[in-house]
Amino acid sequence: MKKPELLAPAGDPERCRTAILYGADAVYLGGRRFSLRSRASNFTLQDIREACAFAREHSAAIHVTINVIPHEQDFEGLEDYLKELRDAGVRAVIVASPAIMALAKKTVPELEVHCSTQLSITNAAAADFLQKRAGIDRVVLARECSLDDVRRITASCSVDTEAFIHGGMCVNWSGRCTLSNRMTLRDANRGGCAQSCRWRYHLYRGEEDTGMMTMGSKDLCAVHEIAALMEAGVSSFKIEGRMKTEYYVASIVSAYRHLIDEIAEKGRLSEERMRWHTEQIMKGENREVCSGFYRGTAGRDSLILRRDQDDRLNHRYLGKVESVRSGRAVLVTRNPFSIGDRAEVMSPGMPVHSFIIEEMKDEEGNYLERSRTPMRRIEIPVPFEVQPGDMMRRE
Amino acid sequence: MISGSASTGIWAMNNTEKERIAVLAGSPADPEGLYAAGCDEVILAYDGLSLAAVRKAQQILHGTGWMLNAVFFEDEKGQVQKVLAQLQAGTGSIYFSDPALCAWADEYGMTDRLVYRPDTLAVSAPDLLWWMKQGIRSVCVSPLLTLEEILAIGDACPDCEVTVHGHLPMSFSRRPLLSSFGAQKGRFDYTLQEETRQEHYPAYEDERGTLIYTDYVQCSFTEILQMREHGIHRFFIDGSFLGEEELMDAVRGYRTVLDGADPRKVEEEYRKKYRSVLSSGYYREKTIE
Repeated sequence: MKKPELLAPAGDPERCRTAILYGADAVYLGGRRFSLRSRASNFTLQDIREACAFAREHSAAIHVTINVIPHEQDFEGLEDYLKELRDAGVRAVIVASPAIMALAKKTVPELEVHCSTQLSITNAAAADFLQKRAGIDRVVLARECSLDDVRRITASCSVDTEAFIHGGMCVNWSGRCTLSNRMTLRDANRGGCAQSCRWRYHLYRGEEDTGMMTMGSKDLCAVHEIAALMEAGVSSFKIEGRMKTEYYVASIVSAYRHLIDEIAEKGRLSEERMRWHTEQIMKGENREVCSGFYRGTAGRDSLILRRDQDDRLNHRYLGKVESVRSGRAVLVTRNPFSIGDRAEVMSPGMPVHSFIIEEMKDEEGNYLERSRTPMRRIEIPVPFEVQPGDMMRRE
Repeated sequence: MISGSASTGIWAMNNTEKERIAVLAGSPADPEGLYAAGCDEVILAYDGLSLAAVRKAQQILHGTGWMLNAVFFEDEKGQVQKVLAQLQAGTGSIYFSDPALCAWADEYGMTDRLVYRPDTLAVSAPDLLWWMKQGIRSVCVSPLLTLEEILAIGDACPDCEVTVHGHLPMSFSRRPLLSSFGAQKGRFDYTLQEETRQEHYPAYEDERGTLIYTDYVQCSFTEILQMREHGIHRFFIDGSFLGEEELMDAVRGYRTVLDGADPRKVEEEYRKKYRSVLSSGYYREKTIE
């Protein structure tokens, strides 16, 4: 069974380091130009150089998105940018435009070119065509592919395949939606998507209003497909979410890291172990999830039907350990917690340990029954070793 | 340039030496009237292999073009190749959006009949020229561009094709979005209205998924002449959600404008006759990042 690359998103340098420390083999990120997710806090060239250096120290790699559907002006400065990325030590660029693919292969042949999911590739012939004519090294498959599609494409394709395993899903074919353009003049294919699909619509038949509908998609969670995707020989498992929080990145990356490693070691896991891994993943998730198209066409049960299903807050994250002194951790808080709550600590490369919070003090040394306010420093005794940077969450 | 319905010979009367108007027919029954109205090539949506909110055909008509613009899955390869083999004898254009079709058409020596129509993805001259270098017939410019951007593309790539008229596709989904809320597949009378807006967006669902179109009809009676000045000579009219007569009048209107009629008068007459909301789309409205 092939052990795939675990590819994580990062919206800023801190999340990039977190993803690598919690087990990502590679991180994809966007520069200040040429990248979708324009509202994600994207990386300067210096940030990218530092990310590459950090990745090298941890035997990981950096992929950079150049995945806008480029207008004329988007080509200005692109050659120089590609050379800067190569010099910084980037391994791959993720590209949606055939002209940019060809340009990258000509200008910086040392860089791998990965065909973005924006091109909606669902068959091996399309990937082979782009390999022959534009020189791609890998194809990121469309999220509309079933498990069987992924198997067949991976088996016959001339390039490596990459498949999404977790995170947001467009309800429409990637790159083929202009709802946002029409309704808000924000170009979805250049990072401006207003997520108009998640709004509510009256469905009319002729003059008759037949009721309300919505098109927002639940997020993808392919936990139960991981073993099959590994057996299929997929080269890279991608987690979506460059706009997600550091806690999300740590939780999701760490959970999939453990799952992939355990499957690689033992093969298919028992129902009990799968239940445990699913619970770990869901501790980092704050949206409804579904299996996408992996088990066939995603239907009504893949849609967010109620307003309160969308973006529910996840109150599980208690805070990040800032310092440790004599068995007491100083936590920068995020969500409320009380004496008697059971907490667990996520530490890079370590199994999760849990404990009961038996005491807490604020910065003035006052003993507290409950921490209510975010971004305060709270001192907590922890009965095992913890490190600065570890994350604490409700069990 | 020779095209049209061999059964009627009507096409032969059209002056198509330069500008060329292709029309996605609302129904397979339309072609002869469309040729008579001034269309150079009628495009039919191939049943099961196209993304278009029009009635689809399977019977091969010599001379017509075909819309095979679906995204194809592994298990559809054989079916698509079979259709390409059937179309091999014709001369009509084959519109596609999946790069696989380019590879498959090459096996049948049909690359020069292909027109790349990815709706949103062709927005720059470098990308259009890359596709043209693959030996295909044309590339459809995304309707998301401003007129200025389209004209610049025309200067660099005059063999591009511009959609000048019709409801524009806004989104394609593989999901059954309408039937998930009780609608029936295959009907053309559904619209969506966002709860805080007035506009009604025509929507259509079939076995391939769901399409949503603009509330307005893109209209370019004036702009088509500017496009011609910049070398663009291929124009496309999308008949989705347009009535048969309205589509004929649109074709006739563009043909007469290209032949010298006053575009403002043609547009005024069209506006008077039809209640469609006409719009210049994104020609003068630049989207932001």
